[in-house]
Amino acid sequence: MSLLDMSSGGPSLWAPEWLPRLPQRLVEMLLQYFGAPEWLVTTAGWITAAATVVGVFLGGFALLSLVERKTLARVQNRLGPNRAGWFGILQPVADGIKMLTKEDIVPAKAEWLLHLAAPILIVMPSILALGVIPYGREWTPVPLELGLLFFFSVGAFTELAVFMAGWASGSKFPMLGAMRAISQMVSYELPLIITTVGVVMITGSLALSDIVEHQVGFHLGFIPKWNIFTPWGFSAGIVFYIASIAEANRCPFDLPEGESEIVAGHMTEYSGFKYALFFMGEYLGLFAISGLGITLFLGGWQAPLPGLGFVPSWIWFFAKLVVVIMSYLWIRATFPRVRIDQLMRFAWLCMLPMALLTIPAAGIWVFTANPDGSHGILGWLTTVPLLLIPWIIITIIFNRRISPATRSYTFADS
Amino acid sequence: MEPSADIKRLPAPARWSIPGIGLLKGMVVTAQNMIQSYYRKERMTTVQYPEERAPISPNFRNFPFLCYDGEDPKAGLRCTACTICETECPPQCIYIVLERDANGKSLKRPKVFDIDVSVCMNCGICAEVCPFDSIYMDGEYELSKQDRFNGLLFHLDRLAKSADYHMKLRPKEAGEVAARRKVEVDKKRAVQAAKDAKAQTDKDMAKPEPTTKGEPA
Amino acid sequence: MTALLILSPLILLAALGAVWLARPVHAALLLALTLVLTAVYYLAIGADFIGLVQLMVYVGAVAMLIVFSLLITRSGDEAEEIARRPLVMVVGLACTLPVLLVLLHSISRAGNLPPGAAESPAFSLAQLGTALFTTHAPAVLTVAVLLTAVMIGAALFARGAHASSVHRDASCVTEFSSAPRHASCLTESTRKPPTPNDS
Repeated sequence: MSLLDMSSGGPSLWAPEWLPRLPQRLVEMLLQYFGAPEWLVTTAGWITAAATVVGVFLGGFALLSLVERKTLARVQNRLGPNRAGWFGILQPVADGIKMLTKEDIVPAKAEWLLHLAAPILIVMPSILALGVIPYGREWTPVPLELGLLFFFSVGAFTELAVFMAGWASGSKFPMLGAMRAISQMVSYELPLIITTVGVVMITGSLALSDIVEHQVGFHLGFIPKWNIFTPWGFSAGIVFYIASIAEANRCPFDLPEGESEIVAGHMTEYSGFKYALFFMGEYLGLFAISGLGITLFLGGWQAPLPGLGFVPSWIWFFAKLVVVIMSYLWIRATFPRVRIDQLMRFAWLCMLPMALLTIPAAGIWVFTANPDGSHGILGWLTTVPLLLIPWIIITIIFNRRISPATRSYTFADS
Repeated sequence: MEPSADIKRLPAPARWSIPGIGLLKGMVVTAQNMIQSYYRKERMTTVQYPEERAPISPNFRNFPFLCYDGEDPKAGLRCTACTICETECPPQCIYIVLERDANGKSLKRPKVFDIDVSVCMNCGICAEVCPFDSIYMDGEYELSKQDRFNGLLFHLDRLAKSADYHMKLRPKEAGEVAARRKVEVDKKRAVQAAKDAKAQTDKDMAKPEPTTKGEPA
Repeated sequence: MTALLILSPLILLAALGAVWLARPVHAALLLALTLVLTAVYYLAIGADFIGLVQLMVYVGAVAMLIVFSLLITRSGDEAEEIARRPLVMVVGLACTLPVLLVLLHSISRAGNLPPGAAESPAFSLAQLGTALFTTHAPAVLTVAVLLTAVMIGAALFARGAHASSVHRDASCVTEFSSAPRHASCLTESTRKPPTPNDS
């Protein structure tokens, strides 16, 4: 566990590959130097490792809140925040100070305990989920055997927290927002989870580090063996990507917030730091779901081209994370918000069948593999039509435009 | 009720296109917007306010100011303290005191001219009714003050602004006013000159009178 | 053992609260808490897979379903009144007692297990999967068929409700386009008398 052990064994502690785990090692070494008991050393090491991850992503959250505003501004031919500090670099600090100093208002009709618990419960699963993702070759904060399952299990708390926030506020808009959020999350969690089944089938493991290890190598010497470059993986990756946008409540699926319709959805009655916690939970959830997508389909921490292995693996992970997050921003800057019936129709008529089809496709892909693990023409010939034909049928169905059903509003009519 | 009865199908799009191509087109547009914003100056129309200001329109009318000719705001003030604006002002935010000399004779200029811009509603009636081209609506908009009582009660020294300022603010209107005033001043001067000439001739006529009177004497 | 000692009173309290509290939302949230604590107990005794599945399925899906149906049905004192009726209590007890007896019976039998059987055998996830889809395949398939049948039935039920929709509850219709297809709205709509302008 000490410095000497690390350097005598594998790579040196000071190698860039180990850099993210440096704080943990330093704390452990320091405690050992002062003769602390073993359990204290281990616990302090864990806490430092967790603090590293949380620190990195809270910094990322602050940075993203600025980058998002700057990017959206540029798309709309504005400058964005540019007052606080050099090019607005201190804007997140200013926002944080503003949020912290605002009055914390609890509505009179709110159930204060649930009202208080909801923002805590919405940040917690995001941070827990961030803990199991392999960020680098040597950097998986909590290497769980059931990493993928753990990720989705803690994700269940998000919905509960949204419900608590919406219901405990004792107000109409939060309630409407919570109803929208829960129906959306339940609908899009299905395709999200089902698309990962194919990856698990191919890998034969639920451990996220195993899933990354399975994608090592290159086809023809330059195409990475990432899951996205297989027919089923391409289909699953697209479905996963769209469903992850919906799970993260981002535009064009930001109906739960819908600031032009229902104020701020389930966050309407929150102010000050509780509101900031919701915001933080949303962004950390975005990081977590993008990180999972990268792990499952984009080869995790692996270099995109051969010969780039000298760059530390965690840099590749974060580079991919930046690309994925920027694509989210791009989509947010482009598309208007969908209607709730379009959202539901899309989830159940398009996403779910396509997600389900990736499972037989992945199965066929496994069985048509050559003994050495490579894939011949047979796999492509069977899986591509299996996915392409339903996709064409679904798009033809979706090309028929449907106007929303005419409604009768009982109280408005009478 | 049939399920399809209330789901009205709109006519299908004329041409079958690749699904998702519309989404991609939209994304290309936003990407173009973003990239071009870095090198095309005409795209970035935002004016960085405290450092630079957009020019205000000549039609922009805010709180009133008093116009004076020449350099000295006291001497060149057009206002004659006629109090028409004071009477006409709907929220009664104007307060005028006429200046008199020691004998109580009007000096035809205000001793006190106050406008409470916290009360003023920018209606512009004062500027309309003024017969002396003295009061106009200003183009100033940065008027926030820490002290909302005394800070927003504008006195004569704060209100008086030169005719050049008016010309810069609203060239067309000020030009017309200046031309009219010039005509009037010219006319007045001509009248004065005529009067002077008449007086002179009267004087000239009167002068020889005693002599003529004296002649027979 | 410590985990059991700490968690079981909490689980019992949460479960009692879920039964006892009058407001349906509180009861549902306490039910979710009970399920979470049970999952924590599973995790504490080393049954990671079942614990996480418990979280994902019961907290993520079942509790959310209950909560969601509470959201879109009318909130009010009606449920409270019903819960306080003596007949309901008697029926509830009549349903609970047999379950309790069966549980007690099985617990008493568990005391007679041979020593060592209580120790959890070390198994991998792959072993569990193999067992589920080989030796226990009939059970898994039966459950799958049952769930599919339930799903088709629910779809048919909702479709029928849509076709013979007599009255649309405003609280549902304003929020969901497919609202009349929803089962809970069906109960709402059938409870109300049809209005004359609906044919």
